[in-house]
Amino acid sequence: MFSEVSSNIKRMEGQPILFSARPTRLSLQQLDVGEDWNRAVSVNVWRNHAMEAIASLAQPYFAFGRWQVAFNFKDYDDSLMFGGHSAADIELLWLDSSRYLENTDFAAWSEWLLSRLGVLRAATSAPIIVATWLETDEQRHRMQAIVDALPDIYFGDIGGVCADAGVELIDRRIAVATGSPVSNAAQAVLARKIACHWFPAAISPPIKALALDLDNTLHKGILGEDGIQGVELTAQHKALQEAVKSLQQKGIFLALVSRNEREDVENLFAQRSDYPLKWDDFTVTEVSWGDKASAIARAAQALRIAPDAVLFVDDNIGELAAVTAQLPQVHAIHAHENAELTQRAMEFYPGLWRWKVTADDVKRNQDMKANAIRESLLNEVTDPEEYLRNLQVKLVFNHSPEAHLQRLADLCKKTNQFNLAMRRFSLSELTERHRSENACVACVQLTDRLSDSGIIAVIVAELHGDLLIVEELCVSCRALGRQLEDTIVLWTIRNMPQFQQCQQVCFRVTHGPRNQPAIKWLAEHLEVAPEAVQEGLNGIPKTKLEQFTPVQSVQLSEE
Amino acid sequence: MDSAKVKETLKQAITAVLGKPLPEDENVWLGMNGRKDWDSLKQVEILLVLEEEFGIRYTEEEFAQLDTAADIVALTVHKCNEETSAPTDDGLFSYY
Repeated sequence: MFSEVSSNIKRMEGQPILFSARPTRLSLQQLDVGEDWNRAVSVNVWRNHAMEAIASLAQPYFAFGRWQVAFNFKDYDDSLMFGGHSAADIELLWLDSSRYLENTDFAAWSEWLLSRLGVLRAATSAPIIVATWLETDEQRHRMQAIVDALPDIYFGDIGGVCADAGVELIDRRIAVATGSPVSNAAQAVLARKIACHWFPAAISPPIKALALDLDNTLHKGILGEDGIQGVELTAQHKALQEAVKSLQQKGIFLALVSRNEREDVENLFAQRSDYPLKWDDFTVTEVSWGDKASAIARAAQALRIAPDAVLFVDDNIGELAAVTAQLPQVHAIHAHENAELTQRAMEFYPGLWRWKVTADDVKRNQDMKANAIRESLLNEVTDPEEYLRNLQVKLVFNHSPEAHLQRLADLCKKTNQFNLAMRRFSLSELTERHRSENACVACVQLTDRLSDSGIIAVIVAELHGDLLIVEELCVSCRALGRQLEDTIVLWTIRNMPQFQQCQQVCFRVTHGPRNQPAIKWLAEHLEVAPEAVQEGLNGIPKTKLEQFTPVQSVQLSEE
Repeated sequence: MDSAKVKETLKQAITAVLGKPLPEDENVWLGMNGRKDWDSLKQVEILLVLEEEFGIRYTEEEFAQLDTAADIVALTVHKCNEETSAPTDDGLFSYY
């Protein structure tokens, strides 16, 4: 436990270097943030220019995220033959586009590239990142369209990263000697982008909530000592609050975790109109003199997320150490006196950034607030049917959700509690099953009069002889607690085309660290205790589903 | 620019790039060179560190031609002093 805490603190001590505006090569190479990695990641690099120097600079960032990354650098190959392919967690295409565009036009190259991506996609289901730079916005849009044409492929816009960081991308002086024209300054910012954004967003469970301290984190000063007008919103703290608010608007939950008098904090947010963050922006407020680990655990429970989806930000190393000692799964960063560093550490924290922000992500905060109202409604009524009628709940089933496969892959990746098989199907794996005649990928959307929750369930089943095997079953925590699980799951399966051909329905089960709600649900249908549910396949008779009657007070429809 | 500062930074750069400590004896490590102790790629990395730390720029030829660590020190000190003696924007402004 002690070494865990000390290694957390060691990583936090590296923050000022890792998240400076322009990290230098020497400072990164000298930095030691520890080696207590908890995930080994392999990356195939298909390239036509060198990437080794950037991979080397990325190592301290990987160590910060507790990854050990093995790069498998392939020979330089403009033709992208993908010879000698072996399985990896990530496929990276590291391309100097100018080598192609000297000899051919963009349209012809992009068409060829799409065909090569198709070949790689057929060889692997791992996420593919195409990292290159382009001359015009039109070309960038076209490249985005190319990667969107195939599942689980992403465009890493090297030119955009350098432009955002204000560094020159190309340095021809070093191109011959290093095998790449990417400049020194660009190498450091790309290393950070790759290690903190691109790779984690491709394969890691995402961070879903920020648990934020208040004093000397969101402002300078101590509310209890300096008073409401005495605490200072520096320019850097204002920018930090704006960045936090921007994340909230993209669907990241905010929890305020502060040792203060609650009334004082409410008055602060009411009176300081210069604060970009408002009291209502926080989905959960834990303001008390109790310990912060318990407060964060309660916040995670209220948000229906696991502690490992929470990033805790606090200026007090003692608090950070205490929280990570009691809740080792919680991610933590140190709020620096210079809030600009805090902002960058937060924005670059692995798992917070997304390749795409979906409409469902944006709805998340509104939906969680509506949950509080739903719970009070549930307490007011004794009849569950009346409760659902009051809410005007609608479930929309879709048994051919081609347009939603990306969202379904996200749901597979993000769902921890009501996730029975923990297969975590990728977009390409879902696409493959969607196209198979023996399999069905289905999803369910949920709306009520308080909010539109969007797609809240994905179920994937495959027909093997007379067995219909449910290989993936995920229901978002946003839909739990309304007694709709049976209708969502059983009605979806019953309406799958393959259901007619089966004699038994089997659910694949993996006992994960947090999927007790899903196991408990299945146990009730198997009529056994949750601990008696076996890993592997658990069957229930087809007749049980045929006889199932969905909740009457919910409007059901098929998209 | 003080050559001691350049030597110290170069020592740190070589150590970081090669990933191993250098001999304590200055005469020994200043004799290390790109023909036997590091390759051309590592030499570029070492020089990029110095560029960043001292705010100077080497030419494409200099990236390729430098020989011993002592040569790198000499050239870097020369470049640092060139940069320092060159009129800055403030200096130019003071002429008017």
